[in-house]
Amino acid sequence: MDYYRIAFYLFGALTVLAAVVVVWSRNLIHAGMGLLLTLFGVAGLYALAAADFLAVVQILVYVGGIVILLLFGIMLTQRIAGRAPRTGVVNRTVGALIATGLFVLFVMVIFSARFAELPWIAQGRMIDRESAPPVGSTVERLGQLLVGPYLLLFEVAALVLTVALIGAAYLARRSRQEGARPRRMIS
Amino acid sequence: MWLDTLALMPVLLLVVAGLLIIVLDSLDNDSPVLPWVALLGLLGALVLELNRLGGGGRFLFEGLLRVGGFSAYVNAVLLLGGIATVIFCRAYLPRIWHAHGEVYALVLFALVGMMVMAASYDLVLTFLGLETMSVALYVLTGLAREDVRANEAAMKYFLLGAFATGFVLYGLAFLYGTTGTTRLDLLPTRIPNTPLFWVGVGLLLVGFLFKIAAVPFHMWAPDAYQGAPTPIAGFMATASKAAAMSALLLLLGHGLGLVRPQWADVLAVVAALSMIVGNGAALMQGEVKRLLAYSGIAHVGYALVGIASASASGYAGALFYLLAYASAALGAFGVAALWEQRPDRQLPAEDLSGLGRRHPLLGALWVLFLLSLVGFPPLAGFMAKYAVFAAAVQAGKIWLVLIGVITSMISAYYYLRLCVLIWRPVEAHPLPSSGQLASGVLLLTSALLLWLGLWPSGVLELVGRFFEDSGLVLR
Amino acid sequence: MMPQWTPYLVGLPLLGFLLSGLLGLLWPRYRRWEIGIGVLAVSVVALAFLLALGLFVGLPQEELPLRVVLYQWIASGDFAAPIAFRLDTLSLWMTLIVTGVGALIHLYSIGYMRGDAGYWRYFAYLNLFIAAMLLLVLADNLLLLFLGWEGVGLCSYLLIGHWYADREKAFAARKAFVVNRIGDFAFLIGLLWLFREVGSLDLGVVLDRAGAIESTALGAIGMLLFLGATGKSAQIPLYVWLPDAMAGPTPVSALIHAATMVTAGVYLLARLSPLYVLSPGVLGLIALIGALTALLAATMALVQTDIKKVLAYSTISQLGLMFLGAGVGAFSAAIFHVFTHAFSKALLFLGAGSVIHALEGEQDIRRMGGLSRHMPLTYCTFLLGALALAGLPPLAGFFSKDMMLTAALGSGHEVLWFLGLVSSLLTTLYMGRLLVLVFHGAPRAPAVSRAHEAPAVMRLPLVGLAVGAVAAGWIGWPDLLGHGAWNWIGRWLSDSTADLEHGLSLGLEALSIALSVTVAVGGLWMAFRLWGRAGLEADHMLQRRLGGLYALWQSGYRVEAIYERLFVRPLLQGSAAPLRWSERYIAGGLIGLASRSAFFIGSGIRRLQTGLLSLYALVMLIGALGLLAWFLWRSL
Repeated sequence: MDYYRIAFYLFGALTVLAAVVVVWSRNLIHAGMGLLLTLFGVAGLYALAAADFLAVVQILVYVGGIVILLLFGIMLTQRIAGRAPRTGVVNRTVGALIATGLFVLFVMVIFSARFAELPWIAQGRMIDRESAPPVGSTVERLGQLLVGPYLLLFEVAALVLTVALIGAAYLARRSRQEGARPRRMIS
Repeated sequence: MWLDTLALMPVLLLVVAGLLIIVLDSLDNDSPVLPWVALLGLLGALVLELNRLGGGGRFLFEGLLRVGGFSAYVNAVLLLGGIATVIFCRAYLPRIWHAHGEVYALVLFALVGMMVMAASYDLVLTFLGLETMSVALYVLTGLAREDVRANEAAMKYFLLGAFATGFVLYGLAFLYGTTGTTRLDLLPTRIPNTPLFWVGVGLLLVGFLFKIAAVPFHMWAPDAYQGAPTPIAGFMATASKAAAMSALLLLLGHGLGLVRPQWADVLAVVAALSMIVGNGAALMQGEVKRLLAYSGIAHVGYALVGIASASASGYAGALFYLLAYASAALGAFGVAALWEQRPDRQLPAEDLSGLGRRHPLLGALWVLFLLSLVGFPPLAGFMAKYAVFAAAVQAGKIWLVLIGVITSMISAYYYLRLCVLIWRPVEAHPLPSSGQLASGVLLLTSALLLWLGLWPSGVLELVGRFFEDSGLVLR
Repeated sequence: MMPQWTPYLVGLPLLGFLLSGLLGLLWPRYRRWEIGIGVLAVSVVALAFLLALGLFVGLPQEELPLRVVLYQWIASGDFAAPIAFRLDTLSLWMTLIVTGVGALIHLYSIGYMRGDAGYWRYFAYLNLFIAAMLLLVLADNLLLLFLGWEGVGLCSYLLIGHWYADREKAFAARKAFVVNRIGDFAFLIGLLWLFREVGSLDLGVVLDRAGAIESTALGAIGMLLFLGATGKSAQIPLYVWLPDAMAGPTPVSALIHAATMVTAGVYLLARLSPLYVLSPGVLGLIALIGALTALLAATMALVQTDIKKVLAYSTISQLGLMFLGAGVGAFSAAIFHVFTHAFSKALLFLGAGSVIHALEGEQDIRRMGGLSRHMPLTYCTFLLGALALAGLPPLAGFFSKDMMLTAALGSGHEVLWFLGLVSSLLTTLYMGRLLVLVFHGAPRAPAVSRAHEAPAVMRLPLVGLAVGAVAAGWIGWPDLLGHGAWNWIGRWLSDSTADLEHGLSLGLEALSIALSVTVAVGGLWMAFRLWGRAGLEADHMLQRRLGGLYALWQSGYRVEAIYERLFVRPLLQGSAAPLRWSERYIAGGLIGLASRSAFFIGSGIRRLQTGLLSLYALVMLIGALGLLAWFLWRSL
């Protein structure tokens, strides 16, 4: 077993175990910490897949940004609710059955896929042997693709973020009209 | 590239109008000009789309998306929904003290997402369109922030929608992993012989079926429609369904057209379930918006009958159905929005009593919309049902047609109850909110219903052409 | 007269509907202008009648059938459904009946509905009814025919429920609609199947290629379409709506029973007769159902106490005879009976309407009697109508009934012929009973002495219809006379219908006619003797003599109760169970789960119903699992 594999399984185990904590922990803070570790593990997997830029972004945005925000949110609302935020698990039996079913199904299917024999991967390998892939940072290529063929996608993604921003601003801002005027309708 | 961007003008128009609204809103809060800006953008886009309705489609951005023809038709339906929604919002929102400028921007942005979905030939782009639409709709659903019911509706819609998004992404990953492409035009030649691919397709379908609220992915719809402002509920019931349906059509018809037998039956089952559950549940509803939500679920089932036929005439029938359903449902939701008056924004069926006596024209239009939903000849609903059923018969799915016909007969029961109710000799309150413009929209949609029912050949031929010479894989 | 005028036959009443409807809807003052509304409604139907008459006179029989295309309705791919009308002897004849009798009923309604709050609505629907029926009759395409078929159903719903504020009447309307929908459903399936076999729904194509359809498919299609016909024409097993349909205004009943609606089923059989003659099994079943309906409905008519119910069951019985005629291959005779029956039944209903009008809404014949002195004209016309219906020669009903019965005998269905004869006897009995109890004897209620004739606008149609009830049969003398030379109607209609020819010996035919006449005269004599002497006592005597049988007739053979137990209640319970389940599960789960899962967002906001949400997600997951399993199974 080479180091690559060891690292892969380590990150994989970290991701899965931390995810288990997220789901099963009754303490929201613990769950948040678990989420942090899960996302970190995923970043490691990205790095192992030679997607270095993605791994960095994952850590910067998710681990460094989103989860921290989440944890702040939890800690702040804890004050308001007046007791430790806890979650419960409902629909235990049916949920477990379905989850097991889905899990078995996915495992079966993924193992039966035999990726190496898929036409596009097999062909890709043959091409790769002729001209070796460029080794090094993927940032440059990603950048070129994003402003090249995928420019439109990039722009639409920008629109998604704009919409989310407007929506968040609307939902979070202080009442303007409904506070100022009586909450009653003309009828 | 520049020409390609120019061809996206209708979408760009909406984006610009939406951003303009945001800017104007920040200068003059909730100014009454804003809906007009939105309408201007929508009308401009509609004119542009109608202009290229007849011609065949044209690929842009190296095949990323395709405008004209199919997408022009769907976009026209979407824009019709958008125009009606903006006009009803203009009449409705001030009454519940929520005439915020952002609403119009969000409606426009949602439409942009939908129009991207209808044109996209790349599943990643489709996904982005889907998310644009969904995020905007989540916020619109929870527009009445101080109302618990609205909060609950938005929260449910959001959580389940995020859940569905997870399915779509997972499916997309599987699809890419097994074929190496997300492009629908490349897909037919690359379908691998592995179950993983089909699981990916299944996961994608879950996401789309969730958005069109087909059984068993429909549970959110009644709650969401009930909590959302009524015009927005109409918007969700018509435009968002049409967009997701057309994306489904593109995926199945173009991407997976070669392997129709693999998915046709499963769609037939979903269609049958939707028709049965939708109509069955609608029978027992006392609240009009909830009833219309279930009726919408049933109608998705009818439209799916067309897709499940897996033939050019079936797809054309489904497209025709979308227009017929959108016209009738927009009208019904519009009347409901105009008539609604309770502070909790509910509309129990009993509240409709006396509507027809007080406002005969509005009552007559209401009856017309519902009769079209029943599928009563010679209205558009009949033609649409006929088109999908005929296609299903040709495809040999007689059992599906049987279920469709039986359930539509059952549906007559609850629609007719609503029709009769409004003529009850009861003293009713005057129309709480009205507007020349809103009445104009109602008249327009009813005219559309009559036109589609009496002279359907034009539109039927048009939608039929999309699938005959559009490179659709039908062998 | 140019055949291009044909679309106006449908267009004129439709125009009347649109004008009355829109003006009434938008202009409240118009609603009270009764003269204007009435004149408009009558004149469009009368104009349509004149137009039909012009076509009838102006088009030589040799030029028929004609096809008049208005425009292309649906043209998608290989399927085209034009809006086209078919002018042939059958459709032209039906058009004459519908518009002629319809116009008289419209005229009568002007007087009958005076002062009704829904006057404009009533006339608008009445015009639409005529338009839909004409569309049904004239359609050259079965899909278009179905449009008219549905339209007739909708109009009957609207008109039966005219006084919808009354719960019971609204329920009767809904019952009519639902029962009709069952028949329509079978009809639609039959149409789809036919389309699958033939590839077109154009009448010309369908009738041409009928022979090429495989026999079992043809039989099944015939059965399905026949089931549709039993719904519209109120035959076993779908007759239950017609007696309840009496809830509508009386002229509407007249229209439904005489000119529109119920004749649609008979028309359909005649229209598709080339198809039906190819499957003798289905024809036999039609004849059997017809004969049974005729007999059972006649027995029920004998024990009714509501004047309109007697007439309603009588209609069912007469329609049964028509189905018997069609079932033995005498399609033109069945249409002939539609024609003669239209006059007598419209007359009887309008007469009954006059009586009800005069007695201020009284419909119970036990509280009538002796009306002939107060309403001589109504009495005379009612008498003629009743005698015509009872089949007394030489009034109209005799000829058509006789033509069907001889055909039944000639085709070898002796048993069915006998059943037909028995129901004829019963017809004479209940008609005689009705006549005697309403008009003869001593008054049994004070209101009778105040009764008076209706206004002229209501009397005129009675006279017109009475003339028809007397003379309408003279266009179809039995073959016995001049070997069919005097049977003009048979020759006219058989151009369009595929009648089966039966060689019946003159002797047998003479015997059949003689028996018919004997039955008619004897039955009437018996009825007058029985009820003329004893009045209501005769009913009680019958009740004592017949015992259980009488009770069975009164309960309508318990069919309603059986349907209630077999279909209605299980259906209601079946739909109630999931409702209760979902209430218990969802609502119960909601409270329980929401209390267990504490999930606050902000302060002062109610608990989010996470229980419900997780249930939704669960259903979604189960669906997803099913979907994936399916795909996996298909791809393995």
